[in-house]
Amino acid sequence: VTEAPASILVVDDDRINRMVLSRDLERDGHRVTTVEDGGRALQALRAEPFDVVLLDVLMPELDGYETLTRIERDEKLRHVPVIMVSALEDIESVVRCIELGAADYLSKPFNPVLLRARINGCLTRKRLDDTIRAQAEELAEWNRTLKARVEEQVQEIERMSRLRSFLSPQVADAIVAAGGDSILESHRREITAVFCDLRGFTHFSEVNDPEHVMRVLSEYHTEMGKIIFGYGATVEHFEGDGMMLYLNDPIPVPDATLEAVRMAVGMRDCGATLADAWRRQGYSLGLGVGVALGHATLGRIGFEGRFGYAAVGSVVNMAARLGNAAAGGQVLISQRVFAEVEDAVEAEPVGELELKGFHGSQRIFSLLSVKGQLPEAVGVESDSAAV
Amino acid sequence: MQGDREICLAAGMDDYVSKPIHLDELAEALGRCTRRADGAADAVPDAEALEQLAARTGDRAFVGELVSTFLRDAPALLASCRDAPAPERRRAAHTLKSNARVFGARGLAELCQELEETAKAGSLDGAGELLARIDEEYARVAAALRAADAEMT
Repeated sequence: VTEAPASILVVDDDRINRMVLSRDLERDGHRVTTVEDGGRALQALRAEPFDVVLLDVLMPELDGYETLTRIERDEKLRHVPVIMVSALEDIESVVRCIELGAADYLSKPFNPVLLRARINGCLTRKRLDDTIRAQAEELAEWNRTLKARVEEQVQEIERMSRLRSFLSPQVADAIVAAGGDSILESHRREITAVFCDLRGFTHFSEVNDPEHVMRVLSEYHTEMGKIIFGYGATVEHFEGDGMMLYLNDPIPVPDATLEAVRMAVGMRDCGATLADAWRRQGYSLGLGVGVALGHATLGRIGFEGRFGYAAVGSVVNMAARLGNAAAGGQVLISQRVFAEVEDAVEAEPVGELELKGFHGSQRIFSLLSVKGQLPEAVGVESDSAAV
Repeated sequence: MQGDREICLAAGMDDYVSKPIHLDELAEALGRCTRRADGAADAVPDAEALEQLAARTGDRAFVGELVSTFLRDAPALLASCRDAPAPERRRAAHTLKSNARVFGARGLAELCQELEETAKAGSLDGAGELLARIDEEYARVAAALRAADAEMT
């Protein structure tokens, strides 16, 4: 049975042998290339792929042993089966060649039937070897791809956790989906800043156990967090009971200022509910909120392992001053905020205030309500109902 | 079987007898064999040997090409057998032996093998006489090849 045609390299210094071998192999349908010494054989093998090499032992210059040794040492060539060709009486050389890695041997003068059987045997083995090698390479490639994908995922998770530390989840997701956090590079933008903190907290924290202080703080952060994430606000920082938030960055928010005052009212109402519950436990605490509008420079600040996303500008300071100035349960908004949302809110002027770091006095408004806004649901309400 | 006979002869068997054995066939084959053993060193290629080669390789023109290649290359090989350093001498004798076998010139092949072994051992004792016999035998083989080739074509 003749296998599918193969590409065969015949290496022999004997011209008659080259002719006879080529003739036999070509009659079986194989493509034959002949060369007359080992050096040319190695050149030919490196230049194009062969399925089988028929290699004479006794040749000038590079003999069969040396040629075979070099083929077997070469990572790219060693998979090509080599059939050694030697004289019938030279059994010693046959043994040596098999030990050096030859696949098989043939003795001269050739028996065409035996030649065909040996060639076919080698081709069958080589096809199996080639399949195994191809599958191994495929497997290695899959492993490489898988590794790269895992690394990609890990990087994305790291980026996500960086983003989530100062953005609400939906904003972090939007940034990751947009393919990168280049959005966090330094830039200037108009934002609406909201600052809140608890009146009476400093005194409360001084006279109560740390456990109570942390529990109150935790309740307060948990409830505020729901509202903050609900509005997709960016958390710039915590400062004990103080929180600086803003809207319209890094993701633009339509009607950011109106959204910000809605959030402020929601926080105030929630703060009132919390304050009721705390009062029943004997703690006198009240939430003050300030809202300001203006341009700020925003971007990532910090150092490797501890990055934050910060806003720098007078709008941030204004929000903080207003938040500090607000009484418990009060939301103070700046002139600019009031001008922006005037038609949508109920507010009353509280006069002009001197604010630290700002020249002259500022017209300030106390925000009462946003038209059509429903009260926030607060989780701790059930506790207070039970009392 | 016809195929088996050809395979055996091509592999270097001297003859072939198929089973069941018929005594007269066996006697005849043994007779041929002993005659041939006596005259083994004298065996030269004949038209029949070349026909066998043609049958194996597919055409007579190719055998003609083989013969003319051999007749063209052999004188240089014979010169190397005489004058070249031992390794090249050994290779020349080896190639000449191998070629002689292709054409069924067993006498020449045996003489060349003897020279090859001498050269391999590095000794050239008695090589002069051996070389003279090789030259003589080659002349016979060359003449026989030319005649057989002419007869075949």
